[in-house]
Amino acid sequence: MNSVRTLQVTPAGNAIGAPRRASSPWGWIAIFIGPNLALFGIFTIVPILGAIGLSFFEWDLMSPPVFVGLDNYFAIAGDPKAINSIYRTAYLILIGVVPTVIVSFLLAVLINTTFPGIRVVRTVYLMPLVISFVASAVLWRYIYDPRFGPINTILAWFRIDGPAWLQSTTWSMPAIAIVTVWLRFPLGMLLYLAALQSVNPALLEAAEIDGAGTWIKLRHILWPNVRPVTFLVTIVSLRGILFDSFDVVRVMTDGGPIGSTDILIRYIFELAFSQLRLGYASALAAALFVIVAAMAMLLSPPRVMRGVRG
Amino acid sequence: MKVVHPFRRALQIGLILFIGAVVGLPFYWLLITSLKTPVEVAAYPPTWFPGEFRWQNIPDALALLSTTSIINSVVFAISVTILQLSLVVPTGFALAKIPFPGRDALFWMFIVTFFVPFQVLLIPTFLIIRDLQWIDTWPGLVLPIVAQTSFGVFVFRQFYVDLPDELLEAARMDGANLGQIFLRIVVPLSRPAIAAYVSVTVLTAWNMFIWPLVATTDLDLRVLPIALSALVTQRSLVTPNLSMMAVLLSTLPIIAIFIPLQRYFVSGLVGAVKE
Repeated sequence: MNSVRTLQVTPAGNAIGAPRRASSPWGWIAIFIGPNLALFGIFTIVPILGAIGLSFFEWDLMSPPVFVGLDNYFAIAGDPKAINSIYRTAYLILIGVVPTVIVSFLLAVLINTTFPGIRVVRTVYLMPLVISFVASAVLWRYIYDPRFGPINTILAWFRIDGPAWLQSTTWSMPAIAIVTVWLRFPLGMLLYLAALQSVNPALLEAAEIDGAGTWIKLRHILWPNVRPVTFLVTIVSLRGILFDSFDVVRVMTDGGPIGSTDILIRYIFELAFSQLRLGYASALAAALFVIVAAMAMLLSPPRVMRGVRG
Repeated sequence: MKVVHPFRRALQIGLILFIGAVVGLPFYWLLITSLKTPVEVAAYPPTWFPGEFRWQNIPDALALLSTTSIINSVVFAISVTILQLSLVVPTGFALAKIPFPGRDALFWMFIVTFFVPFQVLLIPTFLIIRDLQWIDTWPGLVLPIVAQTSFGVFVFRQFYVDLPDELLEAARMDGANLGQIFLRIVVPLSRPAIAAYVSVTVLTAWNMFIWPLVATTDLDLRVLPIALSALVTQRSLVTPNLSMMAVLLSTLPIIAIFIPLQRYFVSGLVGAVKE
């Protein structure tokens, strides 16, 4: 029913050097893969192992590293700032990822139509894709300005006294989440639009004849039919928000006020590059990787694994 | 024939336009603020259209960003894209079409590391670059980013898996070796995939922040996102109209590429994620 391929990996072909040939073309393989593998090894594999290794040491770049075993990991539990940053990361995921998925879906359904000028409107919807995280963070600082920004100006038209967004411990994280949703929904919307093309229009017509309203069609026909994409959009948004929110947070609040936007990635950065506690920062980074890997495993990989073996 | 209720149709179009206005509001604000005078930008309540256009903001903002950081960003984006492309295209091809023992394990390795956040690699990568004495050098800035090849390997392997084996077999019968097959048949057939991949990679590289922040301190190697973020940390010195103009100028090149090449961006992003 659904033509959208998710993370499925099709088996590789055997066009060249099929088994009947005596020797495998190892020379060519080295030329094709060698340079990539060398760089990948130095700057990805070695750093992964390095991060794990570093997490067992105490090191400030100056004095020689001291082996401390698992102490760095135990220290996480006793560090209120670490606990806070894990909690803040979870909070951002909740109020960032879930709305991204829902907004992507609803807007895809909404603009899945044609009228004169739709191309221009779609381009506007897609524009947040191209602005960088840093540029948008600078821009949104002014958008959120309590006095001179457009949001509170518009709220004032309705006699609402808008909050001091980025200076408020309550509103700073929702403000960051709004920016990430704005930055991230266009990709999800594109994915949903592709999936909607494959929903059989006869289903919708039949529902209409039976007198189904918009909600019934959304909830019982469209939503179930694009479920594989929902899973995909969730993963993509999760990865995006976990990885890229650093830029936004760093420029907009730098973790403040009073740690209310101090997400894990920002705290790791501060530990490593301001406080020079490389070992402890690596332990937190390793913890972050475990969280990401667990979530990725939970959500996706059976398909990936099956495909790779294929 | 499907009959659409005219009222519901109008409602839908109205909603599309309204949400479009909400999504586009930050861009509109960016545009008008960047052309305001320093006096108007401090006026309360804020104006929704500049009373007077201050074109002098353009050269002023360019001076703040510095020509060096603009050139650096262009060089950075182009070199990352070209180098990475020259690594991932052959690897993707080999992983899809040349059988060898350990091939699946290798592909597996690329996929698993796709889920490792770059922030995890940040500290060890910084130490490696420091030991190579590559801090504040072009190789130190570019190579660790070029090495993030897992996504590209994945994209091109998927693309080549769908390529018919007969095509390559026929060329081999004609006496072509693997290198000739790759350069004369495979690469020319890959144009759509390459176009999509290039557009996505240029975008990512143009916007990259955290690694340039760690790998460079030298003003001569500063890229645009770093220059931009510096504008707000010294906000008291730079008026909002100028920092908005700086944001606009640093985003315009990408928008200028994006609008005509929208199709490639879309297929690159959707295709890459979907495959």
